[in-house]
Parts: sequence; C-alpha cells; structure tokens
Amino acid sequence: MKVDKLLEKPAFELGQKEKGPLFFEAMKESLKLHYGNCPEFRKFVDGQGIDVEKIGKVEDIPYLPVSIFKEVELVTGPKENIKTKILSSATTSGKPSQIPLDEVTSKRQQIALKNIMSSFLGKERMAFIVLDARETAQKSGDETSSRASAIRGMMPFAKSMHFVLNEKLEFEPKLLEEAVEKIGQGEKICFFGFTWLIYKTLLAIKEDGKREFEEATAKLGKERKVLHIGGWKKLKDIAVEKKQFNEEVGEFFEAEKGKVIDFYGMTEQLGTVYPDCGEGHKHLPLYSEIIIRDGQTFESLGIGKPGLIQLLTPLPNSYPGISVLTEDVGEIQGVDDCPCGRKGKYFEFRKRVEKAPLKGCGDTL
Amino acid sequence: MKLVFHKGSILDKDLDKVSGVAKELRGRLEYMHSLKGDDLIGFFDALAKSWEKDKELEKEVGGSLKHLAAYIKKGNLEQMMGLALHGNRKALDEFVDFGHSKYRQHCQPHGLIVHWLPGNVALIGFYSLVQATLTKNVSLAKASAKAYKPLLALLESIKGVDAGGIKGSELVQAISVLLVDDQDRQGHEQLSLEADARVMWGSEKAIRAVSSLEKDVFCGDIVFGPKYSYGAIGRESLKDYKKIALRVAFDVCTFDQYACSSPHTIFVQETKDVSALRFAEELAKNVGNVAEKFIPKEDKDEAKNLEILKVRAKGSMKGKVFASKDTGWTVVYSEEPGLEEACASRVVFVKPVKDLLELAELNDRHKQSLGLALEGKDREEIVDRITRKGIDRCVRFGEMTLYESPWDGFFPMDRMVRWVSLYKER
Repeated sequence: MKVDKLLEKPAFELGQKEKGPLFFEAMKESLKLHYGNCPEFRKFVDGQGIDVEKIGKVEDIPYLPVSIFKEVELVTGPKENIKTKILSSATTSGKPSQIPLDEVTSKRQQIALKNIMSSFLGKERMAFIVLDARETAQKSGDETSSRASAIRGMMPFAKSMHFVLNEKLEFEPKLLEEAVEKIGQGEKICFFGFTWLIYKTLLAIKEDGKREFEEATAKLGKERKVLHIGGWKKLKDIAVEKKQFNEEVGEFFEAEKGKVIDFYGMTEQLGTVYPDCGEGHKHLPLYSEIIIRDGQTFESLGIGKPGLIQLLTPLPNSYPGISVLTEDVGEIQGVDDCPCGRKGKYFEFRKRVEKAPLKGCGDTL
Repeated sequence: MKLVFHKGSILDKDLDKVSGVAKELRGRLEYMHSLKGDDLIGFFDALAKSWEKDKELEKEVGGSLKHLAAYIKKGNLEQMMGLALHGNRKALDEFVDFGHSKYRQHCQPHGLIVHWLPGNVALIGFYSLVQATLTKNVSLAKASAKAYKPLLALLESIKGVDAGGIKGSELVQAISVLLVDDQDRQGHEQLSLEADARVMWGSEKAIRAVSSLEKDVFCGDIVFGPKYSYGAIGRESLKDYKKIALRVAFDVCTFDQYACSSPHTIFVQETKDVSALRFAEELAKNVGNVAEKFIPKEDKDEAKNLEILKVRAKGSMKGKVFASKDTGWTVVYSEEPGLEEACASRVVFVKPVKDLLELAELNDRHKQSLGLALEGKDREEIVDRITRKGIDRCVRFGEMTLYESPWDGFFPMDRMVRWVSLYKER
C-alpha cells in the first residue's frame, strides 16, 4: 500500500518537490478505495462529473465539506470492521461529527501522530499532567469523544499520565499533589489539555487556589512544556487571543517562550496534527497536504493569500475523509524554507469562518 | 441609544431617555389626524413613482426597492386598506355604516407604534412603517446598527415628494429611528413602555426578548415572526410545469430566498409524463436563467457558501443535485419525506408527493406561505384540510414574496387602529 509506504518515512524530511508525486500517488490509491467502497462518496464524486481515473493533480481531488460528517454517516467498506466511532464536540451546529475508525485507520493515525510529535517533543518521554478528568479519557461503549481520542493519542509520548481535574472538570488540588508525588525529580513535564479547558482551569486556579497550585508545582522539574489542542472558538467568545493565551499560560505554568505549543487538528483527520514550531509555523507532514481555497470561487490560492483551509491525507481507510474543506481560514506562509529546518509547506491558522447570520424574516424550518 | 432620524433629519445623537422623542412624535398625531386616508394613499403612490426614476436610491437599497414600490402603489394600498378596515377604508376618516342596526364605526390610530426591525434587513420594517402611517399613527423604529442606512435613504426620499396635498417633509416627521444595543435592556424597556402598540420583526430569540419587556396593559402586539414557506404542485397543474418552474425560480431568487415567504421545498404530485425529477431539472434551468438575466445574487457570505457545499454534498449522496458552478444556486432532488431545513441563498429542494393531503401533517403556526399550483373541483377542500393547523397564505407561484394583507394570518392595519362606535340617530 502506497499509504503505508508513506508512513515509513519521517514526517518532515522530504522537500515539497520530492513529496509531491509520492503523496499524490498515495492519495489516488486512497481515493479509488473510497470511491469503490463507500456508496455515498461514489455518488458525491459522480455527481460532480469527476472521473477518478483521470485526476492528474492534488488540486483536482474532490473535497467534502467538513460539516458533512455531522449530517451523514459515511463508512468505507464493511461496517463490521469498525472498532470505534469518534465523536467531535458539537459546536455551533449542536451536532457532532461521527468518524468511524477501523484498525487500519487507527494504526495509521498512531504512526502519523508518533512521527509528527516526536519531531516536536523529542524521543525522551515526559510526565504528562493532563488538565482534564480521567473519566474523559475512558472509553464508553462504541463511541469515543474527540477529547478522549486526543488524550489517548498522547500516551506514547508520556512516561506517566496524571489527571488533575475532577469529573465536573474542576481543578482538584489533591490530584495534583498525588501527581507531584509520583513524578520523579527533574523529569520533563508536559501540561496537556484542550485550549479552552486549560484557560478555564487557569482562571479558576488564579481566583481560588493559586497558592496550593504553586506549592505543589514548585517540586516539579523546570523543563516544562504546555501542549494545547481543540480550537479557539470558546476563547474568542471571551475575547482571548492566541498571543495573550500564550503569555498568560506560559507564565502560569512556568514554560519558556516557545514552549507553549498550539496544535491545529480535527476529528475528521486524526493523526495528522499541526503543532506550532519554534517559529510559530504549522508544518505539513509528509502524510498530509494543504490547499487554500477562495471562499467565493473555491479556486486554489497560492502562498500568502488567505482563504479556506482544505486538508488532504490518504490515511483514512474506513471513511472517506481524505480531502476535507474546513470551516477555518488560513494562509500558506512558505515552502521548504522555515528556519526550524522542517521541510514542506507551512501555514498559519487565522480564524473560524463566522456563522452566517440570519437574514430577513425567514425561519430555518 | 442613538437617535439617527427625527423630525425629518438624519442625526447621530446619543440618547439616555426616549421620553422626549416619544413626546415630540405624539405631538405629530394631530397633524396625522388631519390627513385623509385617500390623500395618504395618493402620496405613497407618488412616492412609488418617484422611486422608479431614482437610480441613486436603487443603488443604495438594492433589488428590494421594486418590491417596496409595488407595495405602496395606489391599487394595492386601496385594496389592502379596504380589506383590513372591514370593507370600508373611509372608516379611517369618518363614521361609516357597516350594517349594524344601532351603530356606525370609525377607527382611530393607537398613537405611538414602536417597531423592532429585523437585525439584518431593516428595509422589511418599511412595510409596517407604511401601514402605521396610513392608519395615522406615529412610529418609533428601533433599527439594527448594521443595516439602518438604506432605511434612512428611503425616509429621506419621502421628503422630496409633495402629493395629494401632503408635503413629504411634514409626513416624514411621523417617523423616528433609533439604534439600541441588544444588551441595553433598559433602553428597550423604555421603548416598550412608551408604545401604544408594538410591532416585532425578526428571529424567535428577538421576538421572545421584546415580548418579555414590560408594557402598558392596553398595548397590543403585532408579531411578524420567523416563518417557513414551501410549495406544492398538483397533478392536474403539472402539464404546465415549464411555466410553473419559471415562476418558482422567481420566488427562489427574490431576496435571495431570505424572506419568510420564500419557498425552500417544492412538492410535486407526479404524472406519467412529468416526474418530480424532471421538474427539478426544469426548475434548475430556470433558476439559472433568472439568476443570470433578472435577479443577480447579492448574498456573498463565506459561511453560507460552506453551508451550501454541505447541502450539495448531502444532496448528491441521497438524491440528485443540479447547481451552478459557483454557489449561486442549487436545486436538490430528494425522495426523503418531509420539509427540508431552509438553507436559503437560492437552495431549493424538489420532492415527489403521492397525496397533497399529506402536507397537512407538515403544517403548524411556524409555516407561512404555500406556493400552489392546483386545479380541480376539490381544490378548496384540499386547501381547507391542509391549512387547518398552519399556513397563512396559499398563493400562485411567482407571487410568494409579495407582501400583502392579511399577512401571517391577520390584517396588520386592523391591529393598528382602535374602533369607535357611535349610536345612530333615530
């Protein structure tokens, strides 16, 4: 399988020119798989008059709007192969995305995540202090929340994992004390959690329990990182910008500048995540590609032009989320020339497209 | 609060209390009372004619100006006012005999009508402002800071008209416009307490918010809330499917389908000659033509474009999609039962239906207009049965978005007046 061959290579070492044909071939292979085995996807592609055999470049691969996963259950291949279903948090629409994962997809996602994250976290495992509840990470039934999935995805990088919020998602000093007791002196520390939850916890601790938090964390090693994931919408609502977040969070957890790392990623394409490098850029690994599209014409835009982010990856085997047009606005900032040394395209996430306001006197239904 | 139009002038004046403005408006009620209903109708007719030549105004107001002009033409207003005032519009000026054995009736204005205009399209509120003025009320309109400027342009245009013995510069002083922040509950409360009648346009959230404000016990409410509209084509009418498709296309393109009277789903009772799919194809051709030649699309919202892509993706997975290359227009053929959620922005669903009586189950008070092509002797019986729980208008396709009276199931002008009886002399 070309997809699996791709995963054998490191995430950020091939230049764009070398990556191009390898990636495209893997995408075509994956596209044909989904076209042949997901009837809804086949109808979607046929409806656009696209002949999958004749697609000659990445830009011509059809893309699904990301919100379709909230509306239609899309499964490629036999349903019996599905091991779990990832549910995104239901944001503005109130409906979660439903992503069915088989073993092949899960395995690929784990490999991709490991290859990407080791480039940012290094080989040495860290003690993870998770700003979430243990219950979140526990699987219930056949469904898994995207938060649980993200936490579990970090396990390979963790020497140990300690949850410091209770079931109500409130900071529990006792849990932190227990964690500090268990973590060895001088161990590298990674505070990890969802962006909005980290900030909410930070505010709560500042207001009530700062002393306990400082006393407990004083015993921890000084090499600290903060990894956060999960979008900015909830923070935008309380008017917190990324710069302010990084400064406040960095100071609070005593992480150095550049060690507060924001991940961009989505439930619909787990595995391929986009952490900030030291230069503040989000890099495309070998396993995914980005196209920026004009919000009116949907034409592909070049470097430096902001537009809608489309992400492509051949990893999904059990659902056709290989080419997805997101509801995010971003901009490709460069190719192969980031001072951090990682090859390939790098981009900036700017904002979510704002929900269309209701106009006129019409109702939705 | 900001006062942006008062005593016939555009302003930019911060305001703490509305009582002064309300008092000055009430001061115009005597002048309004001195006007005759037919002179007011003549004035608005002249205003409509002046708009036809006003290219600048058309640029500012957009495609809606033609609709507003058609609405204030003499024939329409005469008919509307006559119907609303129980068959005799003269009742606005004098006591008239409606056939009561003892009394004659005359209607008086409520006084100050406060209008909460919709958030994004303040122009829609012009319909209620005209009706309030025709019934000799004065109006205080709360407009949206995002969308009030075209409304001011319309009010300014009134000043240049002198007809039927009425000077526009005098008449327009019966209307003032305010901007009030959504969060300024105290400001809204002041408005509400000043009102002799409240007119509410907008979303369910907005209507609920205004409804909850304190008001005088005798203050009546006129609610133009959010509603959903759709269409149906009976078997006998389907022979004219090409003509019907053209008319539906106009309904879909007008106001980019954002009006409460715009159709979002069209049910087709199929025949052996014309299927719903065939109609969808024909409709797509016509929507494309109307969009290209007659009503260019104004909506350019990125989030809406993404929503359209989602509807198209889902539509192609479950049915068949006919669409422009860009997100200009979309016709989805679907066999899923029931009404489809309104996407608006020129996205319409076409579905087969076996029996039109099935539509009865879809209707409730949230459904407003039913575009209809229906022939046959049992036509009225069918409409009677399907409108029992909802639907306020069953209109010909092509005329769905024309504002009329009654609207939303009532006669707005009747709600803007108070009826006075006077015993007949023996």
